[in-house]
Amino acid sequence: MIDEMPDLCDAELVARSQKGDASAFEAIYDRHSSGVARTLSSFAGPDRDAIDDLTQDVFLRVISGLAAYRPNRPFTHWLYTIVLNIGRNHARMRSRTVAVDPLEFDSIPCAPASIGEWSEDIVADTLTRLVAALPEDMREVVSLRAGSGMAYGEIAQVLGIPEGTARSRMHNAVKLLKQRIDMHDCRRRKHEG
Amino acid sequence: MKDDYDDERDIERMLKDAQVGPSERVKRSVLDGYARAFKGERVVEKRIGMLRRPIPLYLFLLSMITVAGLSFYSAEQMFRPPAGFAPLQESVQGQDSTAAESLTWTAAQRDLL
Repeated sequence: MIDEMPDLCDAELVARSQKGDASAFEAIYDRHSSGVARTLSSFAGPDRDAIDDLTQDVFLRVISGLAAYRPNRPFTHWLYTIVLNIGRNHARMRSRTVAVDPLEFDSIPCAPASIGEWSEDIVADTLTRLVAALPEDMREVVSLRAGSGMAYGEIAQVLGIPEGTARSRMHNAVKLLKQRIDMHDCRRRKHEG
Repeated sequence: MKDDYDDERDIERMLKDAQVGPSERVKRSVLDGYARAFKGERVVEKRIGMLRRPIPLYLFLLSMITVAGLSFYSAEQMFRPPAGFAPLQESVQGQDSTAAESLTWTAAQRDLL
């Protein structure tokens, strides 16, 4: 039964899930859980336990809102609105308890000339930490773009902003990430020499 | 020559490669929640990650200090005379002849020793 589910679109899977079809809901989970977790990692950093908890929260909220969901809005927009709300709440709570300074992370290696060269030097979780420390408006665009693979037009719809704003936030986020790596590099060199 | 657009794509690619899929326990918990919801049962959130998280050291130390403090307090309360209870000699003098005699007897015994 579940074998035929991957061919169905989100709207059909949701309609079946609303009628109590567990395999349809499982297919929704399988299709979206990785993207949801990746998006949430931009809010939670590389803490896998927190990502698990937040992913669970998202899908439990989907379950409780499933009966009220109407297909006049794409399912992914609804899903990622929930993801953003849960991510924002978590980030707010985290900022009250933990002061995050991305430049303090010792795991960030010496900055190369271009981000493209990071792949060998910078592990993914370092980048996740840096993204988690971005200002909220930039972090949301980066997390949706990289986590869900949404186009800028869709990101703009989910966030309720113009598409150009989404693009410029992404551009600014990348610039800021590069700056932070460079600052860390400067600090490191001073420390070493 | 690389430009900002290449950097954007690199960041997206690396975040996608981060492989932060949720654990299998999350899936089981979510599907269990779905089944419960359709049976009309309340969906209880079991914090999957929280269960695996070790108790932080500071919480452990804080609880130890609290337990030690409470033990000391209760031991002190156990051996302290009740509030408003005056020293025995003052309270019995001229009021209770039996107690006064007993005190005198104790004093005499002390003299003998």
